[in-house]
Amino acid sequence: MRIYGLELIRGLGITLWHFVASYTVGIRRTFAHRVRTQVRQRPSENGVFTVQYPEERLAVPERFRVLPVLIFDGKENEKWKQATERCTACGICAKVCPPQCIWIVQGKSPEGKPIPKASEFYIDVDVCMNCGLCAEFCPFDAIKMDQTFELGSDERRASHIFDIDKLHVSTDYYARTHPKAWAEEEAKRKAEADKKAAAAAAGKAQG
Amino acid sequence: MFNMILKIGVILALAPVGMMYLTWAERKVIARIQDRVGPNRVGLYGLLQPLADGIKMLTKEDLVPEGADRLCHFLAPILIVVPALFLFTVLPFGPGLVAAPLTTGILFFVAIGSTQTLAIFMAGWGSRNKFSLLGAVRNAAQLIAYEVPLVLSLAVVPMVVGSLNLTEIVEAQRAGIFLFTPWGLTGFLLILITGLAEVNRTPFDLPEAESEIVAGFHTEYSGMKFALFYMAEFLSTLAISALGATLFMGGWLGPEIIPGWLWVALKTFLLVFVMIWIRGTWPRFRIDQLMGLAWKVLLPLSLANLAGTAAWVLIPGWQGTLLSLGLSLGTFLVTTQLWLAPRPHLPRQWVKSLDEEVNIWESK
Repeated sequence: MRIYGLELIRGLGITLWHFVASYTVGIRRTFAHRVRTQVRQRPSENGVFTVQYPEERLAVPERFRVLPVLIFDGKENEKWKQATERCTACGICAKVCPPQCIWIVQGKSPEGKPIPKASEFYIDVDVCMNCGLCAEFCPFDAIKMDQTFELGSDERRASHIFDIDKLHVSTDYYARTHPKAWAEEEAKRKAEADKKAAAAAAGKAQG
Repeated sequence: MFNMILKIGVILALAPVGMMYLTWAERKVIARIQDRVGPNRVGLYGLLQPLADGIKMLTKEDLVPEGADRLCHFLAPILIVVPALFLFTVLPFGPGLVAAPLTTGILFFVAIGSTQTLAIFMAGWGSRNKFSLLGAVRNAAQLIAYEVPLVLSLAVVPMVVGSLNLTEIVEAQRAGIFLFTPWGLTGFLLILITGLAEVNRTPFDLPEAESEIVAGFHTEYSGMKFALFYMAEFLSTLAISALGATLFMGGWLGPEIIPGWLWVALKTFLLVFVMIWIRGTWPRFRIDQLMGLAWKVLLPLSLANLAGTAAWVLIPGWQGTLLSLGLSLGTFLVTTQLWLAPRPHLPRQWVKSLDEEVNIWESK
């Protein structure tokens, strides 16, 4: 430590350790072949820090947002139905959307009366600026920001305008990708329901 | 005669392959030192990367700058590769496995090796570029500074063996390789350092210092001509490592579990690894630091080593060994004056504290 020249030798020791550690640390990762989700390396950790993107990818933070999706109550891989979807076609999201990329058509009952359901819902994903205002303003928790980011395609007009079928994801999917936010929302919903039930019970007792 | 032509043919065929995979190995080792993966897209573990690089080099445009000395510019890459290939002809890869068993092997090696400077100066002069000329002048200064200690530290081996023939030098090491004698260790380390300077590798890559003078003497070269310069550098690296392995590490000698030529290859690659390792660790010297090191440290040290070797040969037993060791070590300590160097400043706290403060490294 005292001598400057010895620092060169110490430097050689450091780089040799990095060389060895790049093989020994995370050796299982080297031999695994499926796509894995990686956690970002801390500065104090050793070993190869490269995330080899198509084969490996970093876990995204929960509040990482890309495009809005519509939520319906159901399981994953289930198809959405008008009965389960949360959207009421109120149009608030379309109004607050700064680049105006949302297009909603209100649904009609068989008799021709407007109903609180959307029959068509389009989002132009190339116009969307990922601000998340729609999700913040939605009074029904029906539109949320999703984390899917691999959306590239060589064609714009058909594949980059998401329709109502493509936009719907289940509550289960949302609970999986956003566990904290989902728990918060559920707790809030439960508290409100409890309050309502208590109020109803109180009203009944008075009446 | 036919035998010799066959061996030369093998060298001509294998040396470029060895050089190609040396570029791969260098990129891999440097990457690993920097906690990266290195080339891994072309072929398994990036093993076809050298081929891809070769195709890229071949298909690039070959430029000659306006006003350049066309003959110089054209000849330089050839004149640098041919001597680099010559170097392999005197290196023994096993008993009798040498293309040209010259009695003046070391002399040939040194003489041919130093002609590369001429080619580099031709490249620098012929390019009509200030950066090129600067690189070439730096290279000439470096040659004068380094060739002297290099030759002096090479000279100790013939002093002991009594022959310049590399095969005989290897045979003389049957009793014990020279690396484990005080003069052998000193000579070996000197050759490692001056060898780095001889082949223009970090930390002595001043002639092509990319952060100072673009690319030095090969600034104006592109395509295959540039590749030839690169090839010459790597071939020389291989050759000087093989020379070090032959002179001090006993060449093909070793336990006969594996054939002799493999021992040569292993020892050579060990030295090459050390050179790459040094490149991955040390920054480049400044030209005055380089000159200071060469003239004030390496030259006295190689002279002392010469005297120490003479003492080792003339005085048998432990007295000679001690004298040799004392001369080398004493000269090293006196010339470097390491104890006068300032205490290095080490930061007390590294970025580690970030871990505890903000946990941005984990998500979910």
